[in-house]
Amino acid sequence: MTFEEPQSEVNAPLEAARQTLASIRKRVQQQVVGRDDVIDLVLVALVADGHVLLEDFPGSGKTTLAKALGGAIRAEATSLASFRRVQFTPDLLPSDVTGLSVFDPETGRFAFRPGPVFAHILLADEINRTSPKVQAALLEAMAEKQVTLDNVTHPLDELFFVIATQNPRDLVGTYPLPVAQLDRFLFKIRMEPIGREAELEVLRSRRSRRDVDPMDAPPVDRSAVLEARAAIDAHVHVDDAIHECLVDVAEALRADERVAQAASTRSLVLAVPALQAHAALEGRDFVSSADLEAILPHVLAHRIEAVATQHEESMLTARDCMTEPLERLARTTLRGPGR
Amino acid sequence: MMSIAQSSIFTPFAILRGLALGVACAVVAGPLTVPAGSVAAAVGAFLAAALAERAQSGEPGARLNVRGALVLALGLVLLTEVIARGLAAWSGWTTALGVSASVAAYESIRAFGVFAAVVFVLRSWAARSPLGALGEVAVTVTAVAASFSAHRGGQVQRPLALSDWAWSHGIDPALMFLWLGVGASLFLAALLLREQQSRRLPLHGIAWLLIGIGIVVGLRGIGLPVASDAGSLGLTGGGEAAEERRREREASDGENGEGGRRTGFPFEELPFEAEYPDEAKHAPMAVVLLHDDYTPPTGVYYFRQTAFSQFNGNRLVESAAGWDDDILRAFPTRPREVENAPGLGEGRVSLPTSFGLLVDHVKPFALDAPARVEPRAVMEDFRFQRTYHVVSNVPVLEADALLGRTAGDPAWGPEERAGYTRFPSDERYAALAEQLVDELVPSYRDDPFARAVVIQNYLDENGTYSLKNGHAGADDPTASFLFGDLTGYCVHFAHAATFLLRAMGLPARVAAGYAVAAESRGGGSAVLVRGGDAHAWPEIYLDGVGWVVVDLAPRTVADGGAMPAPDAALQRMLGEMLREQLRDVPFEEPGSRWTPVDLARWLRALALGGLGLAFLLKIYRRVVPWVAPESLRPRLAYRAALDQLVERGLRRRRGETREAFARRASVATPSFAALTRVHLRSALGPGAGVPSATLRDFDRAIHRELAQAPAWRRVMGWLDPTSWMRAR
Repeated sequence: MTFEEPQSEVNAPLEAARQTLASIRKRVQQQVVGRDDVIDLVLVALVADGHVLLEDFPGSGKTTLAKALGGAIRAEATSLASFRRVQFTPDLLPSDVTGLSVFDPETGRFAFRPGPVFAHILLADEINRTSPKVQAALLEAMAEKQVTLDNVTHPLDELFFVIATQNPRDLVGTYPLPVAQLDRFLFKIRMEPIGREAELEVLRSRRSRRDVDPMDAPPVDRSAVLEARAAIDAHVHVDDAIHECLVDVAEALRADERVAQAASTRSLVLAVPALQAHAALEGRDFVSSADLEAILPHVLAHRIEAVATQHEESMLTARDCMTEPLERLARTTLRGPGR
Repeated sequence: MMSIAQSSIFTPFAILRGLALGVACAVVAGPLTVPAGSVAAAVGAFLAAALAERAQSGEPGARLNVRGALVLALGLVLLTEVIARGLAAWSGWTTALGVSASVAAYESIRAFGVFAAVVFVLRSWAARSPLGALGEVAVTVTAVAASFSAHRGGQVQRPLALSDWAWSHGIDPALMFLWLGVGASLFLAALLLREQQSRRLPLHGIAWLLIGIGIVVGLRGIGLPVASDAGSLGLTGGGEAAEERRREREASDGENGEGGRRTGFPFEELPFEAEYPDEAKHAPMAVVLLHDDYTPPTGVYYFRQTAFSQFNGNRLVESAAGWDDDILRAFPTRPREVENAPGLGEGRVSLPTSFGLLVDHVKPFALDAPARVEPRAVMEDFRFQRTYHVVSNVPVLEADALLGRTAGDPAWGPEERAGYTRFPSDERYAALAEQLVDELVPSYRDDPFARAVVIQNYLDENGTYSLKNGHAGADDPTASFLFGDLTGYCVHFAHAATFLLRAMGLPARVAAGYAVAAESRGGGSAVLVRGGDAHAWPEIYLDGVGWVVVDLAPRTVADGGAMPAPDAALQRMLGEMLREQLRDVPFEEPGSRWTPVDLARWLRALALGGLGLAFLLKIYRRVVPWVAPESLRPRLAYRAALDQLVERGLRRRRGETREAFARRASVATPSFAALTRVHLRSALGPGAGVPSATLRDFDRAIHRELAQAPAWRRVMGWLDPTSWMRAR
């Protein structure tokens, strides 16, 4: 017989948050097969109020994932769509993303026509194919959660989550995102090819996924997601040892000779909610080393990409630099009070 | 056998290991069987190692397990035993080969079988489990080291180049040779242990150390075999010739030699060897403490052990009629006064002395003339074979004070007086004696001591000292020497002088024991007696003085002359050791000396202390969660669980998170993952403890799950004193 720890560990608001996340996850999983790890990362980013950059070949399920996520969240305001998609092309204009002012002959005034950013979930497909000007407009919206047009600021919804994608190959005629803009993304996720079994499952479940009963896993309200976000922020404990470990990792990265420009302090600040979200997804009310191990490489890798040009190398570097801090953290937990 | 040579398991390393095992088996077999058997044991070991290697090289399922190896080995032993006995029982075989060759064949077949079987089992076991590898090493090291230390049959003084150095640096050579043996076999063990799995190494290192310490401690407890003979005129009672004589006498007398070779008289006469052995002359035989400053007038300490005074018509033998009552016939068992000891005041002073024998002797020896003897208990220290205490009334008279005295003791009966003057009927003795007396100035012609001196001068002038001589086969070796080339060693000179003295009508005898030059004492109180100090010398009896040594020192020395003085440090050290052991004289040394033996003792104490501490801490860490304050319990319980996991070989890797480790360990213990979460929650989470009862359940569950491990692993886990250090 195996002993499990007492179930009363997680408190009520946190449990509700977990339920919310679990039902989103379930819904997305119905549509996307064999990508559970990516789904979890995307959920973490959603809760942590970050954005993700998916990097994969066409047809690997990026759009499906984003659509499924959009479908899992129910918009409350009529003016907002839960999901929008923009296919980025070189001839796209910033207003195609943010929206534009249109002259209304009836009122004789210019009226604002919101662009696709006025949604909860925005899929920015092939973001590196468009001009830096359009990229900058989107990234401003992502960072500031607002759109400024003709000196008028239009705020975006509090729940604004961008899933950008880019193709790692076929780079001719693209505008690679500079590191400063990559820094806006919480995660850059390289989607590995799914396994043979998963791929077979994709084929077999083709019809059932198309005909899925929405009531089987009902969409979650926007407010529920925001509540979950607040509950996780308030109730998932972050021990000071975790902070220390984060700083240790950053220092290790700065000391590493493979890294020219290490992760910024901002990235550490951004990492904390992500860690909390991951802990909550795991059913914990405190951040632990497992969260660091699972989340931190994804937070760090694309921010140190300037020197190590391959994403895998950056992941490796980030993991390398985490070994010692994680070891220190593990030892810290064995030390007595006062540490 | 063909396939062995062809298979890929026959790597250079495997060959080397086979050779090492073969050498080890030859060393072990050495004292157990004939030389041919030793060779057969080595061959058998080598072949068995190769076979075992091959039996273990197949697919995992097809390998021979230890039980199978054991059965095969037993079969081999039985088979060879049957063959050997069958051949031995078959008379045709013996006639064809001859007795000695058939014995060799018998021994070889048996040795081959036994050693091949043992090596086969050990090797198979070692290839299958780490514990087996340890077993193999333990058996090999123990066997080789024990054989090595016992190999010399106690002749720990050899090789002299090493042991003399050791003695002079205050190291016990026996211990040194033992360490050498342990070291050599540990090296062998290192070879054996060089398995592919490097993770075995720390465990093996510890086991290795424990084996080494165990052997040394064990052998120190049981004691080492000791030296018995150093070719010293038979004073120690050893030597094949003496042994043979003793056996012959026992066989002819039918008496069962009460006490055997020590209490009996293993030789009744001094050996006239054609070539006196010259090997062990530096070997320390005994150390003597003088409790008073005394330098004999002759400049030599004569430690008399026995005397040969009765002429049996052919040789001088030890008196069976109770003469020579100044000789100590046996080691004392209780304090005893010697009857008829020459009194004090007659040119003698009392001198207490203590003896520590490093080599056992047939009889005690003492300075002339012992008045009181006391036994001393031998302490647990194995260094001294025997210790005793003698108060001697030692002579102080100078040579000129010996003139003008009469020979013989008035108390002697006519039989005894006649006995002391009997000599061979060869006329040449009397003639030479007469000729020598004539050389004296008339006023001294009748003086016994002057007559002795003239004989002494004659032999000193004309004799040649040599260990090699041609008189051994002669009917009367003394006559052959005295009237021949006058070349011989102390036994020849002593006999010649005694017979000449007797021819002059003076009571004389040959005494045997050790003679040590007084200057070699070097002002200290200890006198080191070495094998080369063994000596025989003539003595005459002067009334009022007792037996007086008339020693000879031939001017011409062909070989085997005077020994260099003993190493002063060694002499002093042995003296101090004896003094310390006797304890009747308080021993204090300003600034105690530090020796490697001390270091070894310290290291041993340190190792044992460390081991004890390690086990205590190990137990403490297991128990402390259940007595600690509530708030600390999750952490301590988790630590205790970590300790248990390490004992089963599960250890968190560097940089591995606790959760990842728990996942990895969940194969062995699913409950550990839950305990990990409890621990992390208490360490990193918002608090709120877990009831101790639950922790206790975790502990029990983990214990139960880990108990599924194989028994050897659990035992190794308990025995490993370092497990808790590796928990992290």
